[in-house]
Amino acid sequence: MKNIEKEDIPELAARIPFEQLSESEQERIISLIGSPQIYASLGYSVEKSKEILTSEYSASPSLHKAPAALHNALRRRSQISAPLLFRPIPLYQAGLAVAATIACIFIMVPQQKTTNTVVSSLPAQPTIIVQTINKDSLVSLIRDSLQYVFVQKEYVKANHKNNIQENNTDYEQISEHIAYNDTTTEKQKNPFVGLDNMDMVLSQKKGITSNAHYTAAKFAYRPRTER
Amino acid sequence: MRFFSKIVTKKSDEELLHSLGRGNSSALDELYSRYAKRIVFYCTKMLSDPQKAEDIVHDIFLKIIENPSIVDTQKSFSTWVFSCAYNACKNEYRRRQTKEIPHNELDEHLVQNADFIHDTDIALFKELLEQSLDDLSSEHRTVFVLRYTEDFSLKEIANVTGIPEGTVKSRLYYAVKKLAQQLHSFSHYYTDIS
Repeated sequence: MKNIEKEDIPELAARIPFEQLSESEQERIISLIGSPQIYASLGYSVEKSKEILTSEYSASPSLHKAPAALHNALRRRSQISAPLLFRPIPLYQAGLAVAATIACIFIMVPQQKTTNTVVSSLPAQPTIIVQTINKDSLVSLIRDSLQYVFVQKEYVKANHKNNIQENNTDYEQISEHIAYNDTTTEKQKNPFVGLDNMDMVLSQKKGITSNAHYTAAKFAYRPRTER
Repeated sequence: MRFFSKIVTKKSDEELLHSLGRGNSSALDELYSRYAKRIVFYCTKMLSDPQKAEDIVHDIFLKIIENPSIVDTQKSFSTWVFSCAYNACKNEYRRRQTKEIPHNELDEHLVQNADFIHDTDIALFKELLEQSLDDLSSEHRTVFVLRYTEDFSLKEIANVTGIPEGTVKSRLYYAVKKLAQQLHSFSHYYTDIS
C-alpha cells in the first residue's frame, strides 16, 4: 500500500490502527496529515459515526406499507389507463346496472309475447281440465244450453225476416225505375236526380266545361256595349 | 447500512417497477418498504426535518406511480431514487437560503467541558455528531451520509450527486476531517484505544 492518498486515510484509519502499518506507510501518512493522533481521530470519527448512524437508522420506525394516498394514486392511474369496459366501477354503480337490466327484461318480454315476436317460445302444453259434474250441475248446464240455442234461433229468424223485407223494397224501386226508362221517350223531368246529368256532373268534376255552358257564360258576362 | 436492505429479496427493483407500471399495488408496497425508510433517514439527516423528509419520499413515489417511465433505466433504481432525494434536498436548501443555522448553546457547553466528563456516553457523542453534521455544507453532508449510512461506493455517490469521483473523495475527506476537529474533545477515547 505505497500509493496512499490523503482522501483514503480516514477509512484506512477506521480499519487499521497506526501501529499496525508498515514504517513506510506510517511515514507517508505523517507526511500527509501531520501526526498519528490526527490519524487516530479520523479513524475514530469514521468508526463512531458509522456506528451511531446505523443505530439511529435501526431505531427509526419501519415503513412496510405505502400510505393510502399512494395506493389511491395508483388506482386512479390504473383506471385512467385501462380501456373503458375494463375499468372497475363502484359497487353501487354495478348494482344500478343490474337493476336496470332486470327492469328492462320485465318490460320487454311481455311486449314480445303480445306482438308474437318471441322466436324461441316453448310450445304450449295441452292442459287437461278435469271437472266433476254432478246431476244438478248437468241439468242446469243442459237448461242453459237449450235456452241459449232458442234465443239464438229467434234472433236468426228475426234477422232473416228483416233482410227479406229490405230486399223486397229495393226490388220494387228498381223495377219502377226500369219501367219509367222504358215508357218515356221524351225528355221529361227526371225524378231520379243525377242519372241523366251524370256525364255533365262528372265532366264538371274533372274540370271540363261543355261548349254550350261556356258560350252561355260568355254571353251573360260580356260588356253592356257589345250586347 | 446496506445490511438492512440485504434482507431476502425475491424480485429485483426493476421487476417491481415493471409490476408497478401495470398497477400492481403489492409491488408498490414492496418498493416502498425497501426504500422509504432509507430515503426518509437520508433526508432527515440532510434537512433535520422528518416531516419534510416524509413529504419528499411521498413526492418521489407519487412521481413513480404517475409515470413509471420517468425512472432512468441507465442507473440502478437505488441510485436514481437517491439522486431524486438529493435534488429535492438541494431544492429545499435553496428555498431555505435565508434560514440561519440554530445556535445550540448547550452543545457548545458540552463540547467545552467534554474533557472533564470521562464517562461520556454515546448519547453525548451522538449530539455532537448531529451538530457537526449540521455545520457541514449540504454537499459535504450528502457525501458523508451516503457513504456512512447507505454504504454507497464512491462511484455510486458520484452517480447520485452528478459530480466526479475525485470530487466525492475530497469532499468526503474534508467532511471527516472537520468532524474529527469538532470531536477533538473526545480525543481521550482514541488516544486510550491507540
